[in-house]
Amino acid sequence: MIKKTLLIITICAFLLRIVNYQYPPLLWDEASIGYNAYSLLQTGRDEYGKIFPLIFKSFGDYKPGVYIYLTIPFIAIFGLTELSVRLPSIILGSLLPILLYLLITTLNPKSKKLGIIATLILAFNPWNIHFSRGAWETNVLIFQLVLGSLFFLKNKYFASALIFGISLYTYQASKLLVPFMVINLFIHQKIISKKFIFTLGLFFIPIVYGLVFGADANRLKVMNLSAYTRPTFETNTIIAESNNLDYQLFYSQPLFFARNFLTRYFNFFSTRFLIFEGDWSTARHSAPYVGVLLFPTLFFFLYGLTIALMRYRANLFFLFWLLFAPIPSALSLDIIQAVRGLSLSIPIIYFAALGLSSIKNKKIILLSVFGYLISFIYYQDLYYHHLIQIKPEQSLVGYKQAIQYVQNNGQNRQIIITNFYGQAYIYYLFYTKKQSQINLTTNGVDTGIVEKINDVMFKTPDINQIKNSPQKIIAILAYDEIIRQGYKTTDFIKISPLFYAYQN
Amino acid sequence: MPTKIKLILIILLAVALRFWNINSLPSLNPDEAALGYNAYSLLLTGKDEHGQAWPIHFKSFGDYKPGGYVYMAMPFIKVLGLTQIAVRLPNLIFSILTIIVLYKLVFLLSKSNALSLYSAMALSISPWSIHFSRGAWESNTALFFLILGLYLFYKFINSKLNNYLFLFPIPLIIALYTYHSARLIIPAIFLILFIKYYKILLNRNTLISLLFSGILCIPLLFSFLNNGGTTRLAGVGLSADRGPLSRSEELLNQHPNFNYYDRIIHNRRVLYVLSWGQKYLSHFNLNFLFLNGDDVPRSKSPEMGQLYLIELPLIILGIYFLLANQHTSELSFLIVALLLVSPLASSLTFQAPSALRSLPLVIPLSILVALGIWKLKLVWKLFFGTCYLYSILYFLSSYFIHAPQKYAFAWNRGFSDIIPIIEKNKDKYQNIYITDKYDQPYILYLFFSKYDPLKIQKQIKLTDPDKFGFSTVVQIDNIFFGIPSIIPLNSFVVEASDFEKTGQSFTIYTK
Repeated sequence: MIKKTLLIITICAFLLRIVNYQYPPLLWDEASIGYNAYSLLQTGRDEYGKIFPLIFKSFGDYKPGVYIYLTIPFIAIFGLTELSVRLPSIILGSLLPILLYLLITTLNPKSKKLGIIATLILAFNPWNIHFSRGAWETNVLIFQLVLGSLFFLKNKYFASALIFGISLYTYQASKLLVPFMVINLFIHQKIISKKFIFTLGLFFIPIVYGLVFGADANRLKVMNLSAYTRPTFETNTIIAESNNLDYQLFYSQPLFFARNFLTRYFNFFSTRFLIFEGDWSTARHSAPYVGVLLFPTLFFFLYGLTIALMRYRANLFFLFWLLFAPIPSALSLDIIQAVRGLSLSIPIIYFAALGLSSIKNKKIILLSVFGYLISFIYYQDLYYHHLIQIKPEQSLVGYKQAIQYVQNNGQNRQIIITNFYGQAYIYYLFYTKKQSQINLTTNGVDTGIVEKINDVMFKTPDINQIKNSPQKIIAILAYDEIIRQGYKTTDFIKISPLFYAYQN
Repeated sequence: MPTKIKLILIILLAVALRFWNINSLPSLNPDEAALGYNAYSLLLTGKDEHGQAWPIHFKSFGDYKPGGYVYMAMPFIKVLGLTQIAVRLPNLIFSILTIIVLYKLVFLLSKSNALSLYSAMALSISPWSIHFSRGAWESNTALFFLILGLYLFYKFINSKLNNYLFLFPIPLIIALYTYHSARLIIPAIFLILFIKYYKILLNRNTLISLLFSGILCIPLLFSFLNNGGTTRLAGVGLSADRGPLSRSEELLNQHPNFNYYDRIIHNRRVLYVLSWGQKYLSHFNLNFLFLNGDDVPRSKSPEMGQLYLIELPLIILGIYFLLANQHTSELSFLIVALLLVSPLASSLTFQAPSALRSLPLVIPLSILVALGIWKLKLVWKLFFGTCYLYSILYFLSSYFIHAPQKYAFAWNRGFSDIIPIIEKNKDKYQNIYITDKYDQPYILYLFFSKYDPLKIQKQIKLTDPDKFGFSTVVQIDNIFFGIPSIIPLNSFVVEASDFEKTGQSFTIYTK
């Protein structure tokens, strides 16, 4: 019975994640992941000619490589398509509910009902669906966190250390999350396995090396909240209003940092994030005007949390997880960051399931099922109809169509593609499957701006120049570029709300 | 140390925090000035500034202020004259009494001296309470009457003595006459309590008491309806926010041809309900409560939450304690009821979270803090005590030093200083121009110059209301509030200047 239920839930989860897999359009990182995997498959080198790297330079953001390697088999089977780039995330995202069931029942063999409910909530949870539908490394990471914990709880320390070790090369946030997770497991099992520490330690060596000597350090510095200081004029005002002692005691840099950290940390527990707006700082990270949870989940979460507080000894594992999950995101500059904080969804779902499973009243259960249904339908509409329409520039609507347009109409013409929305070259490579191994040369050091591939230029097209040019040119322009050059969009061929085509 | 002495010490601390430097800080704000000046006007002429005799709602800036506070301020103004302290004294006194009544209420429900003392202590040092005690904030005065009403209500429940049954509605009715939000919060909380205690309450005497209370509220109801209370509601109410309306249009337009189903889920009513829910729940946002506080400068001090950050772990402990111990069930019920009801009025307005309108929240939160600290080991008590000490110093720095300088305009810094200068030059120049960068400068002028009420009643003229329903007065005699682009000859001009840059609030010149 339980097996059948789990199977049905998994199928539902899989369908929710794969149906209409081309939606939303590919983002830069997804195109880059796909193209680098394709390049590895063809030549054994990434787009910059590096042989099987662990960390990919990509746009200068140095992507951890695990997701790219996961993509290779799918590209071998299906070719370089959206589906093959997204399949690793779709598959792992669909398997996560079962894994969570196993984790919960391993922690407490009696909580089968709780496990099933958690599985159900997870399968239909907007936050997890969103990041399972695209090639998001963070989604692979939480799969690994749950799998690694499961192995650990089953006393398979080597396998566990291996999974956690690999996760260090999956997504940046893991470098903070994994140590917390490991400590949490040690506390829970009341055991410190030397084999485990040694194996995991081996994986940490290159990272420590990279942090100290490598280019990795750069990214960490830029993204880090501790680099964010109070503006000098504000500091001066505070001192002028009182004195230096007052400033040192109450407003100094460590306190300023703590305030900013806590603001971001608390934002994860705000209803604004959880049920009303989702990630309000970056529109492509969640469906618009709706949170990352369904409405009833919040209420059961709070209810479950109060139950867990009363029996806190039995729930310490998830209570700790709940507390440390937002830390990596709270340390970044963004005021709220749904991607980095994704692992928070697991403890929230656990407590929501705890709340829901303790309700005995049939009427309330029926009512909550109804509430879930309405809430889910509401979310689906916002996701499918409004996500890319409200801020098309955030979802990069039309890169694919633009590339296909120049491919179909650009024979014997000079091609110029706007770089207004960034990294146009990767879409060009992805959708044209152009010969890899072009040994991209970037202009600066690490900005990752590519201006030219073969004869194709990636820059703002100058409309007047194209008009008067004797050469045959086809250009893709951004809406803003047309307006700024003083033209009307009616003179251009509309490809998407963002992109327009022009040829002389 | 006997309990009484402990309570007295707590009250002394509360008095120190609330009365220290009260005459200069914060500077008088226009609402306080309006309350004071109308009381002054009533004392001298029996009419308010607009010439209305003994009104229940005061027209003031067209916002029809509930009159309770004006009448409470009258005796103080009679004795002390039209001064800042006289306007503020009623609320200051009530804020101290709130602490005593809270002590009594918690003791009544828990029978624990220690818990009651901790509750009183938590309220006495709460930044939320201190902020709204230092000034003529009707919200805080209404809170006192709410707590008093609750105390008398529970007195009746516990003793079943009929005199309490007839007493308890009286403070509640006073609260209704004093503050808008109380009109929603008080019925809601007592509806909940009546449902819980209906077995005790279901008798003839309750009915008589309620009937009697109802009669006392009739004048209020009529005054509210006659004086455009409904327009005021429309001005600051939920429907004044056009956001959900335009969002509904936006979402519908994104469906190429929307059908019946789309029209249901993107209906503006659905979006208004969601918007209400978001506002209601925003009062429990940890950033609002513990880190950044209200957004309105007049209701906050910089880099401060509504409560001390150190109280967050204590409140969580308090919740744990509530759940784990069933013997304080009456107290738990009241805490939960107050937590749920307090943000109601605030969530129905334009701007949320609002620390001012949801002020009753401070009561259940203070009791939760007390519950959290109550059963801690001595070491932990010392630890939290030290943290509290630091927190209080932090708050004092923020409130007393930085707020008046950082929010110079919102806190009306230095306005009283220019009044003597204006009075001196009023007859020497043909026109006097005063900046309108401060809210409602006319009432501050009336207040500080102790302008003759008879003279203002004859000439007062309100402008058309703005989108929030507020009006103002732009001219008194030869004084104009607002500086025109071309200043005629023979004028005396008082212009606002940026305090943070220049170190002074005004620039004065003549032409």
